[in-house]
Amino acid sequence: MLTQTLVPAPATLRSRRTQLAYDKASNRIAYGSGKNVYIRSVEDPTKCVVYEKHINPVTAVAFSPTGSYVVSGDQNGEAHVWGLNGDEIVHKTTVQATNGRINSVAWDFETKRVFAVGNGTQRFGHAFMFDSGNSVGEISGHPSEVYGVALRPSRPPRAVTVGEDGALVFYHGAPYKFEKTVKKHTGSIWDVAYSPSGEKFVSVGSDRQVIIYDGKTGDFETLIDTKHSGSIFAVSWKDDNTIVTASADATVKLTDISTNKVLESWDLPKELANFQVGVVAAGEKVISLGFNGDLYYWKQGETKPTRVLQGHQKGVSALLVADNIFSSSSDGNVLKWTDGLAKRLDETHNCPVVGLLNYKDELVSAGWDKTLATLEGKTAATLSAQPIALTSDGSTVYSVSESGFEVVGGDAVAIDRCATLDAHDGLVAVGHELTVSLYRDSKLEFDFPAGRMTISCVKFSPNGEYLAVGDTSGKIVLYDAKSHQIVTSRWTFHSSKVTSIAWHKDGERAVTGALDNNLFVYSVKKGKTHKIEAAHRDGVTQVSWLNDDIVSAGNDGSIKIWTL
Amino acid sequence: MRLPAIPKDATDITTTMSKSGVTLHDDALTAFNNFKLGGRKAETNYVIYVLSDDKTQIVVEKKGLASSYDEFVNELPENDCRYAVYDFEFELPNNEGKRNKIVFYTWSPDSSPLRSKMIYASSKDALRRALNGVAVDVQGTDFSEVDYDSVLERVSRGAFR
Repeated sequence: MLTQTLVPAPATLRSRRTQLAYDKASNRIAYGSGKNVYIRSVEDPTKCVVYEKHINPVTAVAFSPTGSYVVSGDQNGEAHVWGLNGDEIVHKTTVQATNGRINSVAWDFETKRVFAVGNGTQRFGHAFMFDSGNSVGEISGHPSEVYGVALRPSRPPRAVTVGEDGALVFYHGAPYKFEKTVKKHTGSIWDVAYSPSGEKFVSVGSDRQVIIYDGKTGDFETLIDTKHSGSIFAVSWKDDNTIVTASADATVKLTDISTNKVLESWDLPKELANFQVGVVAAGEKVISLGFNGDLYYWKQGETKPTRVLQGHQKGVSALLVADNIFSSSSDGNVLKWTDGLAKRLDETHNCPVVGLLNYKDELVSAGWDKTLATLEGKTAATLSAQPIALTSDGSTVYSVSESGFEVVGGDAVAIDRCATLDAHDGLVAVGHELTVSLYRDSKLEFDFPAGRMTISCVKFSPNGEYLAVGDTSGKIVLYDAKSHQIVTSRWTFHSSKVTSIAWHKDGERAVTGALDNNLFVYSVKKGKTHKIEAAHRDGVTQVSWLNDDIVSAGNDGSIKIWTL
Repeated sequence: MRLPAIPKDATDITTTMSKSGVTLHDDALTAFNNFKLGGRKAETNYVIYVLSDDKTQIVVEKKGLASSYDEFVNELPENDCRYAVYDFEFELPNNEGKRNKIVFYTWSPDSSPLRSKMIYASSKDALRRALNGVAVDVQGTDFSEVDYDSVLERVSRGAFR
């Protein structure tokens, strides 16, 4: 049973806005990460609800005005409408809105009509009834990709779409029909938003301009000077008079539009990771999103963020369960989890991190840059080849690469096409192609007979009695490490590449994860004892034990804790 | 014109002899019938068949009363082929009661010798055709295919409507 999900960070894209959604009624935010939509409580971000029905990466999400429905759009133009009742999710409709990326979605004030806009070869968006999927208008007037959409929250209904060409298209509804084009921006328009009352709307773009229009007629009203020194990606209304903007100059600014005065400017160090690509006003708070996936909580009157939420944006590549859970992802981030929330440790590696382990009594991370770095960022050791995986037998750390394995700070043994290794008390098991070989002191001790599929994972039991060998077809064969006989071949329930095997400290049970998204707990005596299906979308990458609970991590960027 | 007389034992030839020439030992059928007709008081709920050492006959290797499904599955060898029948008992949803169905297994694990796999495959009919009342045929090449859940899925197909 799932007890906790350590939530991944929102997915971001270079030079793109990321839509964040906020629901006032339940005080929750929503965003897409991987193929899932995560809905998190603002006050207690460890609480989350996950929508898992998209088959493509999620790119846009919006709450209905009452918060009882959500629309989410994905990379392939599919818009999903689903009901949300507390923590319960009910899928409603799936509509093929475009055949390209959906950049933005929006609801009308009656919770009846939905707009989904983005890229496509036939059209750049679709307006439809949320329950039937029937068309309620036409998105027209854009010659290229549409980036944003806003619907008027009161009568008479109006809609605005903005796009790459710098044009703003105004629609009368419903059904929504083209009314006029307003061209005030000199570059792409990234975002557009209606004020809570519907009196005005605002557009922001790459020309750093913030423009206010009349909500009913769509006429130009004023130009707001926010003094952003970078492209403005996102805008949100805090109330009818104040807007908050997020920009590529790594700042978030709160501006009073009636006096044209910047009330607050929250600045972060100016670097790519801090480019602010999304923002939403959440009651008294403002929540903004950095390019690196960090969510910042801002409060008027305080210059520092009151809270920063971090998480993985990419698949988890290494996991270490000690007093805390440490995890790393293929983008080089190493996170430390405390009470369900993450803190990023130094980003030393700018490449996939493949190992987190103890080296000389210190926690180190190892990446494709061939270095073992301490969590303070110091280089602890260097490797001679790009590692695939690392393991430790308590006293020694071993690293395996495509061309062999090496003792960190010691000898190397050349073997062709290695994939995995594990070590126990000086005995090293290396999986290469169809075979597992045992080495001691860099000398070949034994070759297990070749299997049928490439070996993908090997693991010694805690006392070194057994060696579990998993292959790319999902089979795990358990050998006696001393007599080299098969103990059992009953661990065959995975249907694709076994990525991780973790023994319980009792030496009798092991949890296994594979690319088939499932987790199994196998017992030496009893065979399969537990099955956890669909644990992670896109495959499980790492498994471990936390006392008698299971910790699993996957390519969806999340880490989950399960009780048996 | 008179048709040639059909030999009396013609049916016996088709039911008890397979392409490989392997025949069925009499005990094999007796064991199955006892198992099938024993009802609730049956002393066996599974029978495992094996090819005799000289590979000419299918004989009973083991029969008994397994207290759980896993106990029966554990009787199947890891590295050799077998045939088996099992009286599969399962609950219908909504407390609609228990059902029993006879399942026939062709156990042919990937790790068994090629020769063994061939002779078991070609001799299967000799046994299978002689057994009446088998509801489901399960072909197993590894333990996940004879797992309780996957067999339950096969057995209960159609039963829940």
